[in-house]
Amino acid sequence: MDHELQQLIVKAKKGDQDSFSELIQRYKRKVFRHAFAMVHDQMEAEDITQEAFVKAYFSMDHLKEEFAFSSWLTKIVANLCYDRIKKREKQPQLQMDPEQTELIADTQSEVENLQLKISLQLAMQKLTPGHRTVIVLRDIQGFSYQEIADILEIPEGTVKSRINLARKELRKELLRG
Amino acid sequence: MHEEINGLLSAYADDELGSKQRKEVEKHMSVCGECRDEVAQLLELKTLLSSTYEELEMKNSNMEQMVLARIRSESAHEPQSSRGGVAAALAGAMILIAFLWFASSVITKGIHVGVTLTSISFSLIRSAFSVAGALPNLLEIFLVLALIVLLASGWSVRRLLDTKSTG
Repeated sequence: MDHELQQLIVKAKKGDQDSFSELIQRYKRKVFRHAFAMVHDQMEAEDITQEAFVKAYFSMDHLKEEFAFSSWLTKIVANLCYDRIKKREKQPQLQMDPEQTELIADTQSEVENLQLKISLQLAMQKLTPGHRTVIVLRDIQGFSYQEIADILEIPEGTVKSRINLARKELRKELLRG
Repeated sequence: MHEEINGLLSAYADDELGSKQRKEVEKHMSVCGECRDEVAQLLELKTLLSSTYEELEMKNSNMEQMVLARIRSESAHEPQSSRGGVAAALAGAMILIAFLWFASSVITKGIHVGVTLTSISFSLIRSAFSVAGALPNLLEIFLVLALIVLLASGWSVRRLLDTKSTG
C-alpha cells in the first residue's frame, strides 16, 4: 500500500470527508463491478455502491489495519449484495434484458464476443450467491485464496473447493446457453 | 490419479498451488490432453470474466457528492437526536426535582397538621376524663339518665302505634 493511500485512510478514519471522497474516487469502480457482477442490475449496483461507502464511512472505527481497507470494504459490499439477493429471492425475479447492455459491437467478431459476454452474465445469474461471490472475488476483483478466506471468514481449503465447483457450474451453464 | 489431479486444475490456473502439487499437475498434463484442454478453458473463462466486467462503468458520475451528501444528512440527524435526548433528560430531571421539592413541603405540612390534631384529640380526651373524675356519683347519674331515655322511648313508640291503628 502506498503512503498516500495510507494517509487518506488514516484521515478518513478521523472523519475527514475530503480524504474519504478521494477514497470513493479510487474504489468506486471496483465496488460497482463487484455489485454489478452479483446483482446484474445497473441501478441496484449503483445503489449498493453508494450504500457501501456510507456504511464504510460510519464504520471506519472498526477498521483495525489501514492496509486491510480493500478487503474490509469488499466484505461490506459482499454482505450488502448477499442481503439484496436474499431480499430479491422473496420477490418476483427480474431477468436481465440483453438489449439494455451498454456493450456496443460493430464487426462480426465483436458481435460474437458481445454475445459471449451476455451469455456469461446470464450464466453468472444462474449460480448460487455463494458460488457467484467466490468467482467475483477471484476473477473480477483478483483477491488471493487467503484474502477470500479472510473476507468470507471460511477456511482456505473451502475457498479452493468452492471456486473449483463454481467454475464447473459456470461452464455447464455457459454450454447450456 | 486423473480425478485427483483434475480437482487441482482450478487452483493451478489461479497459481494457488504449492510447488510440490504444481509439479505433480504439470507432470500429469504432459501426458494428459484432457487436463491440458481443461486448464486452457479455465484460463479462457478467467479472461472472459475479467474483460466482461472490466468494461462496465457507472452511469452516475457524481457518486462522491451523493455519498457525502448522505453522510452529512445522516451525521446531521445523529447529533440533533443526541442533543434532543440530553435536553429531554435535563427537563425530566428538573421536573422530578421540582415535584420532589413540592411533595416534600406538602408532606411535611401534612405531618405537622396531623401531629397537632392528634395532640388536640388527646388533650380533649384527657380533659373529659378529668371532668368525669371530679363529678361525684357519676355512675348513678348516668344510670338514671339512661332509664329516663329508655322510658321516654317506650312511651313514644306506644303512642306512635296507637295513632297508626286509630288512623
